[in-house]
Amino acid sequence: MNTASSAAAWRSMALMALMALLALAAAALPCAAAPAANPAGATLVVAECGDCHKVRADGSLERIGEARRTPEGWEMLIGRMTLIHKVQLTEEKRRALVKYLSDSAGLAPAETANWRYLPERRPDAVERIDEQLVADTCTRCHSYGRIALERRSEADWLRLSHFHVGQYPSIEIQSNGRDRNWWDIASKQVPPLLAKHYPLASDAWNKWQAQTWVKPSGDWRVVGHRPGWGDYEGKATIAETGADEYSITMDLRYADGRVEKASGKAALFTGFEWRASLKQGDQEVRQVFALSEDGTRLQGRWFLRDVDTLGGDLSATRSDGKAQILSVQPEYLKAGATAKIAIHGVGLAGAVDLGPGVSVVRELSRSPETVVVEAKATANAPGGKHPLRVGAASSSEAFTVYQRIDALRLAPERGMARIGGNGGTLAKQPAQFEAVGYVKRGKKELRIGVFPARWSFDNANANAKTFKDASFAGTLEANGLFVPGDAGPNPKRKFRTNNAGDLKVTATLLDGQRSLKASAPLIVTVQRWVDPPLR
Amino acid sequence: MNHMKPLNKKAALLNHGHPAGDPVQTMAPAVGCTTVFDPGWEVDAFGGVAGLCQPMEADLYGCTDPCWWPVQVPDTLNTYTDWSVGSDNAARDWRALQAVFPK
Amino acid sequence: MRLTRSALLLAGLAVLGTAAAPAGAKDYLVTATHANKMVIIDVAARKVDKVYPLPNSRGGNTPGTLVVSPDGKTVYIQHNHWETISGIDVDSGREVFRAELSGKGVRGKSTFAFDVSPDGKELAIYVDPVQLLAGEYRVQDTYIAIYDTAAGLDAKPLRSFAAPRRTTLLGYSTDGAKLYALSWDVVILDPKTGKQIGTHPIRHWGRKNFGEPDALTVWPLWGATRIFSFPYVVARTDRKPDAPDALLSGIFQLDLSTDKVRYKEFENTSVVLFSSTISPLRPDEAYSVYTTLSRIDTKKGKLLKRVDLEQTFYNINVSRDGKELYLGGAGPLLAFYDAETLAHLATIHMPDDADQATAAMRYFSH
Repeated sequence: MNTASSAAAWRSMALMALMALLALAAAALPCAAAPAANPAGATLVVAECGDCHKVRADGSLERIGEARRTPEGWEMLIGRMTLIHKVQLTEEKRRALVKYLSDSAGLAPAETANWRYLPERRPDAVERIDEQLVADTCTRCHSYGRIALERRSEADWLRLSHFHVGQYPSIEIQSNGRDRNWWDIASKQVPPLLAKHYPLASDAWNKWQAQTWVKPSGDWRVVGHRPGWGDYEGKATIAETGADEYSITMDLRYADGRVEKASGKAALFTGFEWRASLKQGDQEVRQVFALSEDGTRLQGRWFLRDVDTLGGDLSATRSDGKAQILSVQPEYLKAGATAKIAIHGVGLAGAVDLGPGVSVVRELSRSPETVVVEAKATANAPGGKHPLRVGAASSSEAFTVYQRIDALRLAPERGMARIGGNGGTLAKQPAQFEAVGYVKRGKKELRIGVFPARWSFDNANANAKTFKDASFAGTLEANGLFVPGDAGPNPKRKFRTNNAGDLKVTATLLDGQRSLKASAPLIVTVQRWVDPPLR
Repeated sequence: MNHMKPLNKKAALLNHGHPAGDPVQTMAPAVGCTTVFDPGWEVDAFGGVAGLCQPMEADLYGCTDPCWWPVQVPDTLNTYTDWSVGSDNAARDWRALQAVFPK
Repeated sequence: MRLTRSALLLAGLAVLGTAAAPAGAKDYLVTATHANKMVIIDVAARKVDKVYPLPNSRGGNTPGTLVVSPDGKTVYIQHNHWETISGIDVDSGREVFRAELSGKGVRGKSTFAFDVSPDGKELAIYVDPVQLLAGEYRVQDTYIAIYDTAAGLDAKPLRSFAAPRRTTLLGYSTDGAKLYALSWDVVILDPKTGKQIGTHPIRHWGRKNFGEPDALTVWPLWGATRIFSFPYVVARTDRKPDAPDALLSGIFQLDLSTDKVRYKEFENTSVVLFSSTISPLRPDEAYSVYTTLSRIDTKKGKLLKRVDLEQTFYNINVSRDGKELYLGGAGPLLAFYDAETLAHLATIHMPDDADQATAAMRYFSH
C-alpha cells in the first residue's frame, strides 16, 4: 500500500475520533471513546519506536503505520523487538503500546471472523485457505490464520519476506523450500497476493473505526460446553475498573452437578477483543472472546493457562436482553423416551411448548433464566432439529429429537497430544475426545450431540505395535481425556525414544440394543518450546 | 527399526515431485504444526511419529542450531542465541530448557 | 604398529588410486560440539586426542562444517552462528586463519558450504548475506568469496563472484580447476573467475517417469575416495500414490577426480537417510546413516544390509582401507562399525558428553 492511502487511513481515524466523541453522549449502552483520540499513545509509539522507525509524512512511523494486527499480533511484534533489537520497555509501556496499536491499527470484527480459532487456541480447528500459493509458501511453519490475521501494505508484506530470509536463512533449504525457487516466489509472487487478500486499508476497518464501541460492563447470562465435562450454564458480572479494563466474576453450573466460581481481570482491545485471566475453580484460565459489534453477545473459548488444549466454548448474552433460549441440556431426546430437560436463556416466561411429538409431563422448576421440565417424546416423534418455545422465546436449533443413532464419530476426528512434565519446563498437553452421535438424512448427517461412551485405545498400526507405543505414550481416562506420557528420552524404549506414539482411540456406546463404535487416530508427539499466542 | 509407514503418503509424494500430492490434504494434524518433513517435528511425512528423530533430544540441537523448525523450537542461529548455552547434552539437560513465550 | 599399518594402507590405496596418507601419519577424525569445541579423535586408539575451544566465538550454536587442509595440519571450521570461518592448527589449537562473513551493516552466513582448494592455498566460502537496516532487513544476492589461506586472522576475500541461492555445499575438483556448488543442481564454476563452466542437473535431470529428487546434504563426506555422495528420495510419476514403489531412495555420486556423475535408486523408500559415503575398497558400495546404518550396492541398486543404531547419527565416514565406518553428528557419540558386516565395534563419547548437532565429522591423516 502506498503512503497516500495510509495517510488517508490516519486522517480518517482523526475524523472517527470526533464522530465517536459525538456519539458518546447519545448512546444507550456504555461506550468507549475511539482510540485515535489517544494522543498519548501516538506519542509513546514515536518515543519508543522512533529511534529505528522513521516518522513518515503523515506522522505515522515506517512499518508500524503500514500494518494492522490483532492484540496478540502486536504483542508478538513488540516481544520480537525486545528480543532481537533489544528494545527496553517497562511492563506499563509495553501494555500501553499493545493497547494503543491494537485500538488504532487492529482488525475489524469481520476481518477476524474466519480465524477466531487461532487466538482461541482450538485444538480441533481445520483451517480455511484463501490463497493456495500463500499456503504453500507460509504454512509449512505457520498456521494460515497467523498470516490472515495481519494486514499490511504490499511493500510491508515484501519486507516480511526479506525478514524471513534474513532471520531464518535455512528457510530456503528446508523441505518445501529447497524444491522451488523460494526467494523468487516469496519476494515477487506472494506479496501482491497478500496485499490483495489482506490489505492495509479496508471498508470493514473504516466502518468499525467509525462505529461506536459498546462497553461490555453489566450482567451476562452464560452457556457453554466443556469437552470432557459437558454442558454448563451460569452468570457473569463485568465491571469497569479502568480505561477498557474490567473485572469479571462468574458462577458456572455443569449439567452433571459440578459448580465452579471464577473471577479475574480483563482488558478489551480494538473495541471487541476480550482477553481475560481468571482463577476458575482451582485453575488459572484465559478467556479469548469477541464482543459482538452491537455489544449484546460475548463469544469464544476459554482454556487452562498452562494446558490450552483443555477448555470450553462460551456464549454470553446480556441478562436484561430480549427473551431468548440459549441452550437446552441435554440437547437431545430419543423418540419414545422420557427425560429431564433444562431450557436456559434470559427472560423466560410463559408456556413451554416442546414442538410436535414431544410433551411436557410436568414442570420441575422455573426462573427467568432456566425452566426445567420432564419431557416425553412419542415413539414416532419427528426426528431432527426440533422447535421449542417458552412464551415469546423460541429456538429451532438448540434441541434435537432422534429415532436412533445412525453414526458415531469422535471429536476431534484426529487428535494430537504432547508429552511433557517429568521435571521439564513444559506441561503435558492432553487430548480430549468426545463421542458425537449423528442421524442420517439421505446423504447428509445431522449432529445429535455428545454421548457418554466407554473409551479404549490401542496401537494404530504394526509399527506402533512393534514399538509398544500404547504401553508408553499415555493413559486414557473414563471421560475420553488422553493424558500423554512423561517428556524426555525413555531408557526403557528402543533408541531410548520419547513416549511419543501412534495410537487409535475408540469409543463404544449402546443405543438401545445396538453397540456403536468410533475411532480416531491420536498422535502423541514431542514438546514445542516455541508456542506463541498465534501459532 | 525406524521404518516409515504408508499412513499418509501424500505429503511425502508432494515433497518429492509426485503429482498426486495435495498440499491442502497434507496439512499437519493440528493448526500450527509444521509440515517441514525432513524428517518432521510433530509428525513425519507419513503422518506418524516413527520417522522422527529418536529420541528427539538426540537431534534437538541439530534442529535449533541450523534454525530448522523455528516455530517449534527456538532457533539459536539468530533469534534465541543463548537458549541452550550450558546445556550441552540435550538428552541429559533438556529439563533446563525454557519455553520462550511466557504464559 | 602405526607404520606397518600405514604402509599396508598405502599399498592398498595405490591400487585403488585414492588419496594416499603420508608415511608415518596417523588417522584422525575431527568434529565439533555444542560446547563450542573442536574435538580431534585418534582413530586407532579410539579415544579423544585433543579438545580445542573455539577462539572469539559466541557459542550457543554448534559449529557446522569442518574442512581439513590437504596437508592435515589445519582444520577450517564454520562457527560463531555461521558468521565466521576459522583455521585451527591441529597440533596447537592456535587460530591461524579467520574470515568474518558479517560486517558493515550486513550479516553474512555461510549455509554450511565451503571448501579448501587441493593445493591448500585458497578457501572458497559461500555467503548468504542480509543487509540490516534500521527498521527492515534487505536480502542480498548470495556469493562465493575466495580467501588466501595464508591471510591470517583478518582475512579479506581475494575475489568474489555470484553463486546460486540454496547452495548447501561446495567442493573443489581434485585438480582444483572446478568448484562444485550443490544447489538445485550441481553448478560447476571456475574458481578463478566465477564463470559457470557446466552443470550436473539434479532438480532438472528430466528423467522420464521420475519427479524431481529431494536432494539435500550439508556434509562434505568424501574423505579418502573424493567421491561426493548423498542419499535422495524421488517419486515415480507413473505409479499410483499408494504403490510400494511410488517413492524410491537412491544414492547420488559425483567423482571429484573425474567429474563423473552416477545415481541409482536402491529401494522403495522405507527409512530416513541423512548422509552417505562411498567405499574406497568397493567402488560400487555406499553406506548411509540416520537411525539405521545401511550398506548399499550402487551398481545393482540394491540394499545389501541394514542395522538399527543406538540412536540417530547424521554423518558417516569410511576409513582409508574401507574396513571401518565412523558415525557422528546429532548426539554426543562417535560409533565405530565394521564396513562389511555392519557389526558394532566401539562407541566413544564427546568430552562432557556434549552433542555434535550438525557438525560435519571429517576423517584425515596427519
